[in-house]
Amino acid sequence: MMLEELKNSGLLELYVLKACTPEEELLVAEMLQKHPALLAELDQNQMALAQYAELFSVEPPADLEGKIKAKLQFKPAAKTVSLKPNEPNIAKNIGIYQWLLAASVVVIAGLSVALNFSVNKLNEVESSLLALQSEKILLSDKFDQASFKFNKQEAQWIKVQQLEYTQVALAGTANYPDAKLKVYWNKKSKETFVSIINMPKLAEGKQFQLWSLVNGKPINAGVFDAAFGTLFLSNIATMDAQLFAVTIENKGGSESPTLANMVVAGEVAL
Amino acid sequence: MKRQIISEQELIKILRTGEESAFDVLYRNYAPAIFGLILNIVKNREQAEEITQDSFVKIWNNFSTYSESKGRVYTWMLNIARNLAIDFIRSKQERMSQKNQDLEISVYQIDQQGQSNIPVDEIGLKNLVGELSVDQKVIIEKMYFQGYSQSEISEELEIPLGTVKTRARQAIMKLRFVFGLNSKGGEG
Repeated sequence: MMLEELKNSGLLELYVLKACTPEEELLVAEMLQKHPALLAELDQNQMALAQYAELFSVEPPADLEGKIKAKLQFKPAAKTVSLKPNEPNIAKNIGIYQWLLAASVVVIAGLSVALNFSVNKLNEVESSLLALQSEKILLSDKFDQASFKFNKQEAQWIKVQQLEYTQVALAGTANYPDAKLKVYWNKKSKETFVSIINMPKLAEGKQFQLWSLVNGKPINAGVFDAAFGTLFLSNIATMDAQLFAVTIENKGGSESPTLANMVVAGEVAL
Repeated sequence: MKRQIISEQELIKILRTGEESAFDVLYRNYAPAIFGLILNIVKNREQAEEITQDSFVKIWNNFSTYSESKGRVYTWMLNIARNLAIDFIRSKQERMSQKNQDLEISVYQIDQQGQSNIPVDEIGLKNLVGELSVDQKVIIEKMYFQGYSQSEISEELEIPLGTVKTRARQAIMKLRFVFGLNSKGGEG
């Protein structure tokens, strides 16, 4: 795992919240050893949580300290030695020193104003960056939930669709016995889509082309490349089709089907 | 008892002396945070007092195993307290489920006992409560204060694991933002 990937994965935060799985914990420990810079990141996370926990502070009962001390052993106190600061020799040149001191105070004051200004700016930038990152996560969270719901409902959705749609199964020809594809269309809304279940690999410069046979005439119903997936068609000249077929044609499709390259075909049940 | 401001390095230095006065400083500075944390987890004053005692004994006796490379001493202490408290509620839940009680019910019962937990810094807490979303608060509560695993949360809240992860990240980032902790390290 890369450094940035780890930072964005949420693992460092889970680590601090004590909710990593043992495998994740190992991974974080490993990354911490490899990248000491992560320690600062982790430290900030820990401090944030510690400060949050501190908000729940409660003064313990007065007798608790005594109860704890009774269970502990202490070392005898060492004697303390106090140090007196050395007196500086200030007898000579006091005027010059005073003047230099005043000058340096002015310089230092100026510098610290400038420094303070830059630090404030830096903090501002960092704060807004954090806010942005947090927003990004919020969005990905929402997306995550939406796709979760979508997946759950997808199976149901397809069932509903199948009731309203007429479906035609196209089976593989002798050359492509494993090929399979389904065409769905809604006679009311005139929506048509193709569910590609299994199609052969295409050679360079080739495409699949779907044909509908209407009154004995093949009509182009669109080209596609995918070997599996769902395809929505815009060409609706399929409403009165009696038969569907897919051929392999040169990229862009042909005006009439190359029958030798037919992959799948299926009749519409009446 | 007033909390005095003491740097990590100073605290480590005096704790290494093993003197009684060092314990006084330690206790004065950290007892409310540790007791509050434990109380928030076990939701019972008597049990919280017991576990606070165990935590300080463990912190004091095991201080020789602490090293700066493990992170801040404050975090190290909070972890000791948090782990003891979580171990306690977990074994309590096990005892209860052995009595044919559903885990969910026992968690619910523990929640019901938690009415006495009134935070000292109530104003700060209220302000922060406004900053964190409900989802973020729930994630922190379940993970840090109740010791739930990711999959337990995913199941209980009926959200995918990926969402549990992003919410955890979001919650910590929000806390960092609220407490003004930037990404460069330092006290912020």
